[in-house]
Amino acid sequence: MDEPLIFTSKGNLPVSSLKYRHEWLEDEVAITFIEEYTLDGEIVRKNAHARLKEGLKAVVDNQLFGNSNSESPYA
Amino acid sequence: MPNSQAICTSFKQELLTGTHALAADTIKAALYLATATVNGSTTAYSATGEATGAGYTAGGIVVTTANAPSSSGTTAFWTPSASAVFTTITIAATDCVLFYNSSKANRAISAHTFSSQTVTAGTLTLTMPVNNATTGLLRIA
Repeated sequence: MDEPLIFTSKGNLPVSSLKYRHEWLEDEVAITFIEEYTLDGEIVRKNAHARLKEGLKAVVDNQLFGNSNSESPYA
Repeated sequence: MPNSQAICTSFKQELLTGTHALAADTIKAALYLATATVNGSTTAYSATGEATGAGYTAGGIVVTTANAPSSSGTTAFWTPSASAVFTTITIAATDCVLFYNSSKANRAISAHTFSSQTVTAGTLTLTMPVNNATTGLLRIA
């Protein structure tokens, strides 16, 4: 059976020849999964997959004619 | 000044002039180095500070926009319908993605930051938040 290969900065290499590690990071913006393959201590492939938790919000400020209060009268 | 996330002010103005059609136009995502300055004042895509490296094409990638802008309650929202996937790239520390409208003179839409990442001969996937009034990528309330 052929040995599985993986694309790296050094071309296709046998997966079994590489050291693999992964980590999860979470902050207020995203949950990130990082995969790292090293060959003799050198990173030859690194992936990062980030799931953004939340986008951005803009609030439209409504204003009634004649209303001197700058606070929006609407939600 | 580092990158910071924001809906671009120019985009807000262009909403009032009816410039953008997010479900019909070609929307692209470009990556920026952690040393770049992309923020709410950004008005258009620029190669300045953009990530470079093997496999990464200047200007970034087209994002899938099958989701039509929608609303719920008093909030309108829109989110790309698929993850932004940059495959087989090698890039230095990157912490920002700029969405911009390739159909409308590359006008900027929004900048989103994330924890700085390097990628080596690999894939950077940015999975979009759930498309609703609470978490959608762009929300106007």
